[in-house]
Amino acid sequence: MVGLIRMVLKLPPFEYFEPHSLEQACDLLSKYRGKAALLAGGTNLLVQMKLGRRRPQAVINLKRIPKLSYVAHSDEGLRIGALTTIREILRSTVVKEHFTALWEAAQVMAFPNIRNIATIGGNICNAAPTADLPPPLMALGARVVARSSRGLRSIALADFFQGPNKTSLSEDEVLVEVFIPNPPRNTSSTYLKLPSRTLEDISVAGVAVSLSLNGQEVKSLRLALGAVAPVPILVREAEEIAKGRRVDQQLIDEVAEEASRKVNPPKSELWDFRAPAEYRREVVKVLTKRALRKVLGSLGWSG
Amino acid sequence: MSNYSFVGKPTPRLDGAEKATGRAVYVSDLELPGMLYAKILRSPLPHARIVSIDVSEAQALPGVKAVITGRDTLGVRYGFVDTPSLPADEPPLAEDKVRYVGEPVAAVAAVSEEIAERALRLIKVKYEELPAVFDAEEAMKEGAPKIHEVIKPTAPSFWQEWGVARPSKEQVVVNNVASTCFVSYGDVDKGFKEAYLVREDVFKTSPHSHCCMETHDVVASYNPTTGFLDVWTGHMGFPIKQYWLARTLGLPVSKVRIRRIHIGGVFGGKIELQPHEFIAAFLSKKLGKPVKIVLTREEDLESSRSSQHLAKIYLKTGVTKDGLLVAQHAKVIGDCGAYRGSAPVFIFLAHAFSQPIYHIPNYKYEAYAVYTNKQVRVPKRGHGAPEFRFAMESQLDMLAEELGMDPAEIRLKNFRKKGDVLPNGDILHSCGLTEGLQKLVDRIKWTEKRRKGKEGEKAYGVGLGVAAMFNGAQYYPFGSTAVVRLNEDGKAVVFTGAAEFGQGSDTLMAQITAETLGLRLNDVIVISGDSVLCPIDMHNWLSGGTFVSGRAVKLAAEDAKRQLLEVAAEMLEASPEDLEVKEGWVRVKGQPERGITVSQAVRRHILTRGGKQIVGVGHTKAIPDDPSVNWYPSLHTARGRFTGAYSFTVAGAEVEVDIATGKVRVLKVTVAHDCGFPINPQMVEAQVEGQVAMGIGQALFEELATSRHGRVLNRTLADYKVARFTDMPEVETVHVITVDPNGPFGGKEVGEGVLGALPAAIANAVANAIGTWIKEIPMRPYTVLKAIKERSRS
Amino acid sequence: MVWVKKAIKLKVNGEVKELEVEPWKTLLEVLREDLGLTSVKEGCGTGDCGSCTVILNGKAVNSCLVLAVDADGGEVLTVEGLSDGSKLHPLQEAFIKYGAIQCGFCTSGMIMAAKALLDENPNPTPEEIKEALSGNICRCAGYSNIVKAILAVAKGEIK
Repeated sequence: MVGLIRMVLKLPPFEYFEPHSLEQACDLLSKYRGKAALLAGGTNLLVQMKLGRRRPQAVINLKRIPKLSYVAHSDEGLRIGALTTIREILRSTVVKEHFTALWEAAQVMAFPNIRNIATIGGNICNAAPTADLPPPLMALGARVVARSSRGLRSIALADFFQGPNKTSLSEDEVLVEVFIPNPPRNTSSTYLKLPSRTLEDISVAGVAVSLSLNGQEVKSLRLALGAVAPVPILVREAEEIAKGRRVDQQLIDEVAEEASRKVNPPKSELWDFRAPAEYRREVVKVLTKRALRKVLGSLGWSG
Repeated sequence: MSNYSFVGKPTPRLDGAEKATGRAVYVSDLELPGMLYAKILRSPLPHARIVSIDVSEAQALPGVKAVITGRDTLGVRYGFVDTPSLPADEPPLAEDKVRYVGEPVAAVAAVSEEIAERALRLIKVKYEELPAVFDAEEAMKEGAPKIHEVIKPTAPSFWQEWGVARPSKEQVVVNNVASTCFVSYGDVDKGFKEAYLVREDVFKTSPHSHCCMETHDVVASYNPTTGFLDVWTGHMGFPIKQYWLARTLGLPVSKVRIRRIHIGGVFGGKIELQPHEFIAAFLSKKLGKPVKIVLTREEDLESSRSSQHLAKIYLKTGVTKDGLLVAQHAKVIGDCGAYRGSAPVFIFLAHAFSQPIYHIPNYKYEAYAVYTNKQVRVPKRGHGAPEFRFAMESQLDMLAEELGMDPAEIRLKNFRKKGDVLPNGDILHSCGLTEGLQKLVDRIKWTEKRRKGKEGEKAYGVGLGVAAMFNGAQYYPFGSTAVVRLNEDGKAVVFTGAAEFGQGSDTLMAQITAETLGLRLNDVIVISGDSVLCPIDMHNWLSGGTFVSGRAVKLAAEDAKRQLLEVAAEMLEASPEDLEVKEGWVRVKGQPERGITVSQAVRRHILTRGGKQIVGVGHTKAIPDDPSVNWYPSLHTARGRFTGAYSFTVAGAEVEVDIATGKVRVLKVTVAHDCGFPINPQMVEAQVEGQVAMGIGQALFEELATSRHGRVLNRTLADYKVARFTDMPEVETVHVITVDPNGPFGGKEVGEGVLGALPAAIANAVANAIGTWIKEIPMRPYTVLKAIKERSRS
Repeated sequence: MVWVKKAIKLKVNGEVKELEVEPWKTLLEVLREDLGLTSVKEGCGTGDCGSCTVILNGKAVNSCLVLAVDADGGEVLTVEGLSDGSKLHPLQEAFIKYGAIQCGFCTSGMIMAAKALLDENPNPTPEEIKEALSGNICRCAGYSNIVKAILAVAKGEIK
């Protein structure tokens, strides 16, 4: 059937479940062995089903399970429930002020109607190479918590993405929470995306930066890229280059250069149509420089 | 002029409340008793022979009422163009081979959409893939895959039916050339020799989608007991759909009823008979039940019609030292798609829309419409103007730069003027080019903005674009007729074939009628777009709605008024010349106490003239200044009259370019549009803004991209980008009022000309900002960035 | 496999509706086909155009991407619920007065998105309006007139 044009935008039939607890949800997942899909916001899943890209036997609606939607800040860090909508994230002053890159990504990831029901868990688990939330979360050092009948498991987001639409979750695991450790003092983070037509929902290059300063020196720099590879990537080389370095234009240029080297989009006509690799390489450099200047600016640096 | 009651005043549209409350019914909202749903199986390959089709399993599925393939519709042909030398070439369902991804191969009618779709999956088609070609110039070469070889007429052409002596003959297609257009006058070689400066440039444009918010859809209902076929579909005038349905289904024209319904946008994409409409009507006739087909957005973008495609424009232009245009040789390669569509027309119009703007004494134009294995092309707003203007206006700016002249100056030097007679005989009875440019340049602080330059990573520029547009054209042998009936309650009912598809035609006709007759606006009821109720109109394409259809309505209202005043004169014991009608009252001029209502006069007419109602009839042809003109212009040689009036647009675009990423933002668009006289200024501005949105789209991000397998890569709205709220610049309209002597109240079109000028203006603005011209549209960020980098290298 | 219809309860335009729907039916389909509320239009089916915007539990959503069963127990508002046709809602009046309607296909979605905005932010700036409605496409592009209409309602010029 390869090549058959999808001609109907009706959903194919499926079995439907509304578990009231995570145990029930995990049981169902085990029972259906990879043939079930989890329904959070539905803004990715339903589109994929309509376009014929996914045809699950069963759809499991997670939204009747209580206590999966929260934004809780403590001395350790920020805990966000997997079913927290983008809209709710945008309303959080804690996120806006202390985890700015995440907030900025939430602003530009989709149109308002989508943000009203899309969830952070859904965006992460859909694992699109162009997703907007993974890069800032990776730059902020986020971890995700997954639950199965075997218990809970914590995974660094930087290790979570295996390929386009593939994560390291096993068939019977449900993502339940995103945890971001509190950034050290003197940290600023940001997320810049192209095309910068506001609220574009398919990114062509996304750069997330979290920078912590120690006076005029870099305490730590985390830089993550989206839409330039089969998965969102954390540019560890940038972290190594920058650590302990004095902040100056040369450092900014080196980091930008390093980020640009990581650009390696899948070879596909659609990717090329959205933007050729050489363009992404070029603008990753530009966005990285702009992101760095932006966070440095909010940290009071005026070099 | 300013004494008009309705004309010239911003008037809220009459169907606003219906639409704002959700009561307006569109095709997809229609539910008829016993209605069936049909779905179309489409080719997944761009070029292949059909070896076999097995529909048995599909037919056996419960709920399926009929499955049809090309075997059932053998020999049926239709097309946007059907002339003795270019016989209709498109079958509704593929017969021996498929020629584009998305071509209909089979169709299923079932009791629900789900069952119809399930049935599609059960149809087994065996294809033998053939080499495909997607580039028009490649398709013209020796050895390219032959998309069409011989096109045989399968029925007499429309022309033959109307007494044109020539029978249709088969067309032998050589090198995939579907049609050509050659025009020349003067002596270009001599002209180039005399020129001080000659430039040769090549421009590229891409096809794009109409992308109406309502996708293509249709409900067809054949009633075997009455022999009537009712069709609800999007259209820009019923005659063409009515005729082609009648012809292809073997029904009398009068029994094909195109029905009035709200339409969710057309922009030229719903003019001619299209596969899904024929299929629905055919199935309905076969089954005696209503059949509904609604295309999904993916189908609409990928396999339905696309816009015109002027793939390549080769332009060689010579100017004198003072900037006077002295010679031009243009060569246009039009990409036809898999069937002719409107390609023969748009390769002609690229030239025709260019004629009225600049005076060029030595001129040669050659154009080829070439088949490729892609979607069929039909008109999209501007139909060749936006593309060709982009090329010519850009080159004009390049010439100006080399001469050290200001772009506004070079245009003023070469503009045509009122009274000019064009090489084909059209007369510019009104022409707002010079006035428009002068007003525009003044309004946007042109000289200052040209010099703005860079600010950090942003560069600023401003540019001009100029376009001209027909006001309707001959649609042999028809003109436009309208009828106005006065009812005993003093209200008027207008019957017009002019189609209301969102542009406000009904409201316009109400304004014209109310103004002419002296009624109140809500005393006018407009019945439009129904082929049984309304007289034939020459269609609203080529922007004839105001100038032609509006004139017919005005004439009909005047005829009714004559009859009204005759009886009123008797009642008021005065002569008709002494009477005036205002707000539903007929009064003696200067003696307002002597008056009667229109209602009273109408009743009197009925009582004293044997029960006869007042019915006014008006008729006009597209080209009123020469009643002998009956004919279409020749598409091959562009000889003959094109239109009765031209509208003109001069647009100024201001842009900001991010020179590090190539992203272009349009900050402001100012449009000086000569529409003769703005009958409804509110609608004029709405049309302008709509065209600004489309112009930005065409200039910066709208294109249908084809994969190496012939599929459209960007076939969802996530990837086919159209302008949204956040893309819109500030838009200012400068009215240029030239009061055309033949337009109703002096009015001309406003639906397409503005779009013609926009991509050119934006391209020139970008060139002003980055110091170099980009010779292709859309100018995506990576294209712009590439140009910026190349410039800085050289 | 068993295809089972599910019983759901929706409050639609103020009235409680009890329905039996297949789980794979979207809210868009149920509103249009089961409840006859044809103001809700399908422009793309993939959440990109906003023509199907309705207000669900106080928030503007693309009804083409919400399962009807998922909306069970919720409250839905469509354009039909804004007025019975005799007295128009201020947004409807404003859209007509300011020429914000051409073909009308996007209009219901626009009006619902506008209502959702004004319910949350009664005094938006033009920028905020454009951003809130950025997911709604108007191909006839009444954009600036739509903004004018919404501002007029926000400022109380049209009640």
